[in-house]
Amino acid sequence: MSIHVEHLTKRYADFTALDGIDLAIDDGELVALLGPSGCGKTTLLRSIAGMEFADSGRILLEGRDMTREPIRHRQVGFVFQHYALFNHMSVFENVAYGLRVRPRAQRPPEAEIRRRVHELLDLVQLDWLARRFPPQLSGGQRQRIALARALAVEPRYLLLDEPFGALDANVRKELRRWLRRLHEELHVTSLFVTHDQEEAMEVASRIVVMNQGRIEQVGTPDAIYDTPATPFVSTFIGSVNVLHGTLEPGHFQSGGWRLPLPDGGTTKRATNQDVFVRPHDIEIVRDRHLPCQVSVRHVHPLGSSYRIDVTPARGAGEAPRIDDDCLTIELTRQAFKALALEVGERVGVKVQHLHWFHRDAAPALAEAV
Amino acid sequence: MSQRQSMLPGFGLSLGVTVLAISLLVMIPLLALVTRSAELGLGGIWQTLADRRVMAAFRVSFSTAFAAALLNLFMGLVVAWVLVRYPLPCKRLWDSLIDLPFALPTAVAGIVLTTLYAPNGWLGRWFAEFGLQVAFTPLGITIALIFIGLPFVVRTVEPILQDLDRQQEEASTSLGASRWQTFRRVLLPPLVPALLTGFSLAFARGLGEYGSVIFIAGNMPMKSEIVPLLIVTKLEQYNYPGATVIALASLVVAFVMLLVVNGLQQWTRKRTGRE
Repeated sequence: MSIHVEHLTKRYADFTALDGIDLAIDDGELVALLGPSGCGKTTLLRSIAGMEFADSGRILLEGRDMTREPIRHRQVGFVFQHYALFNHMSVFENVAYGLRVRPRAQRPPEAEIRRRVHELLDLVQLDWLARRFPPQLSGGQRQRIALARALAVEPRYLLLDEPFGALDANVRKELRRWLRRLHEELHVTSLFVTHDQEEAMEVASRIVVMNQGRIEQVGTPDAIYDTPATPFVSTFIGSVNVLHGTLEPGHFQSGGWRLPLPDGGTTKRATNQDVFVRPHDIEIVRDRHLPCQVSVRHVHPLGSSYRIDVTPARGAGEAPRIDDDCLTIELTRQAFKALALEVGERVGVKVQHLHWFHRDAAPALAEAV
Repeated sequence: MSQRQSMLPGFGLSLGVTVLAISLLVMIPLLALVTRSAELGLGGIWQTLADRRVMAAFRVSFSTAFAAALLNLFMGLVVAWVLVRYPLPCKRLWDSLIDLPFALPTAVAGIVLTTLYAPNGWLGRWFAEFGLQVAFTPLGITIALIFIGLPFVVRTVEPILQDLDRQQEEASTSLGASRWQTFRRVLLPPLVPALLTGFSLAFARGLGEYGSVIFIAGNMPMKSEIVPLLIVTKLEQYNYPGATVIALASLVVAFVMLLVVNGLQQWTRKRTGRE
């Protein structure tokens, strides 16, 4: 069941929530809408659901124009960040709700409702809670019940608004995996909103990155991480070092840094460039002959990896300056142990991968090596 | 008394104050009512209550208070709904207007309502066109009691309405429910306990209301005479035991009705898992 959004625009009094959004989602996909708060992702989701109505543009569900249809007629299942369970009904009645409110002619008989509800409660592994009331459940349990309730009406689309946002870290991780498995089982077209890039990368097969009411990039998690289309995506997804300076044949010059480019670097000179280097794309080598020598300033152990802050190496006897630009390098635990780095040590670095954008240019001028 | 540590100390002290206040202000006066009535003996009590005029007054008082409370139940819900959910201009002003019947001396309300609803008054004139007399009938009493009782329902329902999660309504419509179904099944059930509280408060107040009613009631024995007025009449005739007996009877009946409403509340709470 496909979703097509065509040039959707929505303005509030003082800001633009959606600024001409075009988006196509195929049948059975699991897509994440990712972006910082206020980027319009929730407005987009609610517009697709029919809880909010855009000023202009169209929403097509399975090719049919549903822009003005109210939510009741869209056959969407919606899951809210704060569950929105009916607190005065038992868990069973919550899940049964969508079946009970059907017009009499379409309402399944009581025995069928019972069977369906227990089937769904089994699916979310909470059948033993059927007689409890929502306030007696934990957050993770409530969200699973909310999902069962949304699925009870056999929706063609499942829309989830920050579904794990209100849960603690451990429960969130577990539920992410669980949502993925559920989607593999049911294959209902699903769209979920999140501000957590890790969550988007882990769960979604495709990610839509949004910022200030626009779509910055649409792609698989790998594509978004490896070849970000805009400076915003570069910094929003994963951690990255940003340096501003001039590209020259063979190297990049920025403040105290003179970084040699990897093979196939640019041959032209270009000023006013923002260069993005991922911390794990920098290699540390104990080699005095490498053109780029650095001093190790700090080492932060992060468990499975180590983060190392380095500054350009100065001549012997020259003290490090406080305003020296720092580069952050990430090493795996093994690599760090093998090197046995010490703070204050002087080592060489090699950059394996970086990309750059002209600071004021349109996103299309992005280049990478 | 358990010696559990609690966040705020002073359980003993606050219990003492409560018991003292309730004794001095409520229990002892009520006890006096009982002892004074007992002077008449069972036969005397029965004789006082079985009087046709007394029975008629009870009928008028309870039926008008009940009708007014019932109407306030609906109107109060609608008013609270509008105040909470719609962006009204000068909302604060409207909001404080609701409380005005609390602040106004009840006699003033009574006189104003009588003037308006008298057969030649601004509003009474229109009713008279349809052959409907408002003032000096039980209908007039009911209108006075609606005026007095409305804030009770609005003020008890309003906070609950404010705290309702609006996403529950969205969830309901997303599951295919119509507006009416959403109201009936999602919105109303959490409001029922508050509505019942508002109803019983308005009803109890209606039973005891004196000042605003006596002017508009006309006070015709057997027709539009209310229980509180009958009590005052007995007092003026120096029939103190008779007055206390009527007061006690009206208290007992009111107490039983409030108990029933409370039971109803408990039952809805249990049924909806809020126990």
